[in-house]
Amino acid sequence: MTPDAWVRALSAAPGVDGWVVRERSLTSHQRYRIYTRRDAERTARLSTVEVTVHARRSEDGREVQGEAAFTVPGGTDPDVPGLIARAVEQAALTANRPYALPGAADPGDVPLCDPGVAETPWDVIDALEAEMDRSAGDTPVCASEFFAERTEVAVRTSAGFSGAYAATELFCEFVLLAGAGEAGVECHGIRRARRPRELALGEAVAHHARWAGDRLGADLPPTGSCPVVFGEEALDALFEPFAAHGGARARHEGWSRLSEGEAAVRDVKGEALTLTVDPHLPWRLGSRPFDAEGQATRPVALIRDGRFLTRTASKRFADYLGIPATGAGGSLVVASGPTALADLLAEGPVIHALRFSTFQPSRVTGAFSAELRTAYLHDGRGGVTPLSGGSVSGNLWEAFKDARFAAERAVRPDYDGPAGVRLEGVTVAGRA
Amino acid sequence: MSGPAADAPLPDPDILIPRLADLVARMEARVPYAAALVTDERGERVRVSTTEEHVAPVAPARGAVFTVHTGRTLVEAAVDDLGPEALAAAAEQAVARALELGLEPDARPVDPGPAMTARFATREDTPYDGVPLADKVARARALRDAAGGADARVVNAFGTVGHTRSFEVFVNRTKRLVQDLRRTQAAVGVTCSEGGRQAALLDGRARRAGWEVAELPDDLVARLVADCTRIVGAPRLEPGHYDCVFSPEFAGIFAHEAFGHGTEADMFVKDRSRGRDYLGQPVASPIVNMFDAPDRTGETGGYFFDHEGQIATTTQIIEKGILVRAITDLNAARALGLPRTANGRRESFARKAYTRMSNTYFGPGDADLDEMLASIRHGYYLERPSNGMEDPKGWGIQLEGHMASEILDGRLTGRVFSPVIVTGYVPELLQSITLVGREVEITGLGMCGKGYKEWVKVTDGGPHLRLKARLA
Repeated sequence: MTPDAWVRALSAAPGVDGWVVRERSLTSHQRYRIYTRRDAERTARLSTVEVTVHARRSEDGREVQGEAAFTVPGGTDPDVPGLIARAVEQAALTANRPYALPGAADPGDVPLCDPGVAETPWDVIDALEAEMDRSAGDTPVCASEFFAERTEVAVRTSAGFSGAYAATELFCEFVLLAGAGEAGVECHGIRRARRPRELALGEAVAHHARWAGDRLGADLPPTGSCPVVFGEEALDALFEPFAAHGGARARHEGWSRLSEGEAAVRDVKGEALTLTVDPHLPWRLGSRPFDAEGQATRPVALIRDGRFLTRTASKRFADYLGIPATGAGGSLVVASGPTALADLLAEGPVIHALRFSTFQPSRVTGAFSAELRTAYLHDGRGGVTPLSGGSVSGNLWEAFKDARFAAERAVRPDYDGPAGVRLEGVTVAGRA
Repeated sequence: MSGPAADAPLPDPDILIPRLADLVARMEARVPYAAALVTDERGERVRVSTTEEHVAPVAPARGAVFTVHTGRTLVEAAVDDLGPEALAAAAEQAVARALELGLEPDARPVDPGPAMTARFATREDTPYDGVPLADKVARARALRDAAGGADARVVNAFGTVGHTRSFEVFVNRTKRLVQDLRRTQAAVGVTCSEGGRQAALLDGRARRAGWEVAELPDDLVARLVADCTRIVGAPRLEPGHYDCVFSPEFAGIFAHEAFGHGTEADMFVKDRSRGRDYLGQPVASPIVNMFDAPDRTGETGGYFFDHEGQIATTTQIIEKGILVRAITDLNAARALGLPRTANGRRESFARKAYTRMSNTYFGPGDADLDEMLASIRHGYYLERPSNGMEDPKGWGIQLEGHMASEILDGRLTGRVFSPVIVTGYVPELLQSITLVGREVEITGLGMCGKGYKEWVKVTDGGPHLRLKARLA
């Protein structure tokens, strides 16, 4: 069924006041290795059409918007009028505040599709495998997975939006081993990017090979309260609570602690945070010209010099709050500080935390707890001790009262900012 | 008006099985082993919150995957079109790529298993598809309203009911298997705010069953709201090693992360798990037993056969503290010469099969909760787990939870701390277990990733456990 046919069917359907049609297709090439042996190789193709239907009605003297959705998998021959009629019936059972769907707009172009990944995925995977093996040196790579994927997305709305884009994504997971038997350890890494250049696989593998070796002699951290410089994997999630509380949804649902024009973090003793959400950075995984409802995206200066400025907002929540829609998605761009990373680590003792079992601060509360996989204790006199095990914990809303940002930049899939963030007074649990 | 069954018709096994069997036979004329799996997963979710109401489908996953073993490598082609031409093209694509990579002599050829033709289906006391959608919306609203109206500090509440139906057909040289899995879930969540601080909690249940699951216990919402209001602004506990009691939910996430992932045999093949060297060795206190049971009736992590055609049976992983058996998928069992277990699972037809858990839990003991609490001078009762991560190679572990209740002189003091993290060395934690409760409880709201992706439905659980752990 063609996109135009969906548009005709929805436009003619009784009871439909608004609709969104999202088409998505994916082609995936996947290779799995155990040591240097090719364990499995796969290709997959799939496509879906997802339709959301809005139907307005009056209920208890107020206008409400019913909403329902259905998804048609590829390779099926749907009963289109039947699906739409059923969606209208289902929509009558829900009651939301009405909002207008995004209308006609030129979302512009964001470079997201790498021709090499799209057209010769096995060649790209071959090259990445070779790069990984070279960079690992003598450190065995016991397992690795490579995905090269191409996605095509198209969105149309009843209000007149029509847009499409293609994107590629590379995924590489690798595990390096150090030591043997009881003392053996692994160092697990994941890289994701839209093209090989941003994947920077060789550099990442070389770092992980060094970290694997360092884990062999690693100690537990000392228990107590200690400054921690968060880097590498922590940067992926360290700022998520700020982005979540800065979203229109959080305000609408009543749990945002940020107010426009006021300090994002009160009683700041360290450096003030500057945070932008940017969906237009070329080749970033978080980038997209428009969101799932067809809202053209734009960069949003969320927090500047510690002051909360503007909310990100999908069209729904923008209308609910009476603010401009910015679209959903984007990379978090954080301003650097004046201090070199080496200097942030020189004022010790301080823990440089790089890898965790998992680091997922609560988006609602800002609380974090994470087991250390790779960290270093800098004693302030030039001594550096590898750490592994134990945990760091705290609350980001408290910890960012005394934060310092490195001058050097780091680029990760959805993050572009300082390569290290020093937070004082983090709780550390390790050796007694 | 109904749920997922009203969408596109399910594949007809009477048409599909002969077609797949013919393709597999043609493939095996050119390669040593071939198999086909068709999955059609669909469902719906009703979610109503204080601010929004939605009825939406679970993203459908309908397609076929053809597997070829070259003697060295598994080659697969997956396609979302179940038409005869598309299936034939995918089968040919898998064989062609296998031949391109080259066939090799195989010291351990794939055993297709004993001949078997069977059809399985989940029993639903009240078929989910037969319940009007209006009743489902009403149930979700009732959950939302009960939670939202329970305390002035609740700023947002939601209720959700949902259902997935996984219709799966597996065919190889000897097997013709069909299963119709139906999983139903009901949950309620709250966000509380007080004094500029927030907290959020979720509770509910999921079962491999029908609409009967959506009836949640009477006191569940009240306990959820009470706990959420208790943890708003609660302090964190002083880091240290403490005597602890794990709730059954916390015991479950411990089982899952500690020796669930650690005994996935595909991790053995990659030298990523220390468990391989400890098969037959003591790893836990002698009162500890642990199981993975895809055949456990009604539990939502279960199934009748796995995605590689292995019929579901229970695996005892730890017996009286001894690590006795790993769980396997086809490729890992073949590579290591281990017995097959029914743990070869895929996120969808578009993803690879790995060794995965199903329903994983500690077995029962003979202690009761009062006895455990009475044995502790100063410690914590841990409940409402939120997250966990394994490290099978280093035997490290991270368990996160929302709530630690203080125990002093054998009694709960009423003071709560939030959140809480458990870290440590898995064998030390397992060997520190001194009391095991009588009642095994299994919860099914969670999903499990392989590392950081490949999400599948699992459950975990156990009885109360008394042990010693590093907390922060």
